[in-house]
Amino acid sequence: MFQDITLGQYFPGQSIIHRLDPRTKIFAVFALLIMIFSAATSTEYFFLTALIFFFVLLSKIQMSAVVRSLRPLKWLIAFTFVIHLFSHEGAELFRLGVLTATVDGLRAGLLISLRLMLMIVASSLLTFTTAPLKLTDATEKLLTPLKAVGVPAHELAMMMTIALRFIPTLFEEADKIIKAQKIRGLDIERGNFVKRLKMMVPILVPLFLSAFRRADDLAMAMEARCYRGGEGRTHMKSLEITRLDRLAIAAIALIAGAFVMIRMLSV
Amino acid sequence: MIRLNDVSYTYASGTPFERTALFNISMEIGDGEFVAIVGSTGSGKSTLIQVMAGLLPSTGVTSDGRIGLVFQHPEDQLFEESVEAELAFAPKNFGVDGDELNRRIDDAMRQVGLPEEYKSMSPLKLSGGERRRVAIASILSMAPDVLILDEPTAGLDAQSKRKLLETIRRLNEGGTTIIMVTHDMDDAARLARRLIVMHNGRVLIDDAPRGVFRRTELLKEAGLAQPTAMTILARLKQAGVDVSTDALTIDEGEAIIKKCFRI
Ligand SMILES: Nc1ncnc2c1ncn2[C@@H]1O[C@H](COP(=O)(O)OP(=O)(O)OP(=O)(O)O)[C@@H](O)[C@H]1O
Ligand SMILES: [Mg+2]
Repeated sequence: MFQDITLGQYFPGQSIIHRLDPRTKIFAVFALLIMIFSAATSTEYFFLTALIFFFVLLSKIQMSAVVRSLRPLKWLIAFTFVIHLFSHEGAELFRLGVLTATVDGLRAGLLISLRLMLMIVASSLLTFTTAPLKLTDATEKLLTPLKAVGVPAHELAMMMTIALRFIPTLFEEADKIIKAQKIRGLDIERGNFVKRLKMMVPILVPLFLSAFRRADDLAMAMEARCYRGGEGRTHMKSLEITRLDRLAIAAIALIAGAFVMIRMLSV
Repeated sequence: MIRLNDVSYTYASGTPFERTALFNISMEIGDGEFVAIVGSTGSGKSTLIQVMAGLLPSTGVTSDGRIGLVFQHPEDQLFEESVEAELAFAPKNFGVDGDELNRRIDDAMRQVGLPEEYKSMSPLKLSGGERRRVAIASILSMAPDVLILDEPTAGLDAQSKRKLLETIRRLNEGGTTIIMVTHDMDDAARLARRLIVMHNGRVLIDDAPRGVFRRTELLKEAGLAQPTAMTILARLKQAGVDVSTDALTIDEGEAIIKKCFRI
């Protein structure tokens, strides 16, 4: 049931992208997102698609995994496409009752869908190639300057780490409980909405109970090891900006800068 | 009856994490059998029984009769406010109600040794061992034709363990097919009439306990020990005592030793 979810999954590897510092990758994803948001013409979209495709190739992540990352959001993408298809003025393409599909609508729909997909692939690439722990380390590092204005950087990062660590566990647990209740005759695929909602009780109650129990155990284990927040904590493996990172940051900054500049000049 | 015909199972199929847990398994388990499944950690026992119960999509599995499966740590699946409601859940789902339902609940409570007054208690407020009994009873109340158990005695105290195994034995005498995953070779040797040894996702041996435990070399390969009685007799033999090592249970071992030393 949960086997299709690859969003936020890490595929260990040794590619150039894997070796980059997570901060570099976060910066790159932000730069890509800015470019995706500012893109308007087909040429620009084509360029961005090619760029992201190039990054996927560099990362050596299987195409199938990349495609799978789009799957959870396929309905959102389809929905956005349909809305755009029917909501633009202009030359008529075809009619569906009171709705009119237009050529402009088709174009806008395609570009917006592409924009969504590029955003998903770009951010998936970050989580595919970065171990969750490194990602949270990087978040903490990037948030540290904001500590001065009261942002609890360490606590946020720790919460993220714990959430990331326990999401797969939670899925496993849910899978096990669903199987156990199926044996006891629970039929989650049948019945109307209310009935199906009621069917969730035998699954959700044990799931929440075990999540709370786990949280309790974890809190106890952390306290037993004298965890008391971020003050004075160091890392076993410190993040390090290498030459490769400087090169990558410079390249992506250059590309993004040029891209946005051209965009602004052409308005 | 459960029949597996060339069944394989792969977890996370099609991803970089895919892992085949079962390779080309064929076997048939007849009505009324008592089968123990043994094997080292990760050998595929839990996967095998889930395939048998039809919980993992796979081709080549046929079965008839109602299958009840008690998972490892079944106490994690309790959710009702009272023990009685918990035990009523499964039979109700299968359309049982009225007097028959009450009879099923009472039977199941008696079978696992839960006193009458527990009916109204919340399963979540019971001790770990008591919750385990409630969970097992919640499967027994659906009156399964085949009862599959995944390490049902793990983590229980000696007395609860003995009682539970006794219940399982009695159910089998009453005609229920039993398939039990266990790490305890003494239990496997004493209770089962057929032993399936799993190793790296394959069936290594499928034979009566006596036949299985004679194959010392294969057992070692599977990372398994022999029953206590056999181990003791083997040590005696090693020490130079002329003694048969063919004992499955402590009683058999005792008889052999007594005969050997004429006491
Ligand atoms: N949900 C899962 N996803 C991926 N792999 C799994 C999953 N469950 C089990 N496996 C793998 O399948 C193999 C067989 O596991 P299984 O749970 O059947 O072993 P087992 O014999 O029951 O072990 P144990 O004695 O520890 O319970 C193991 O190598 C395990 O890593
Ligand atoms: Mg197991």
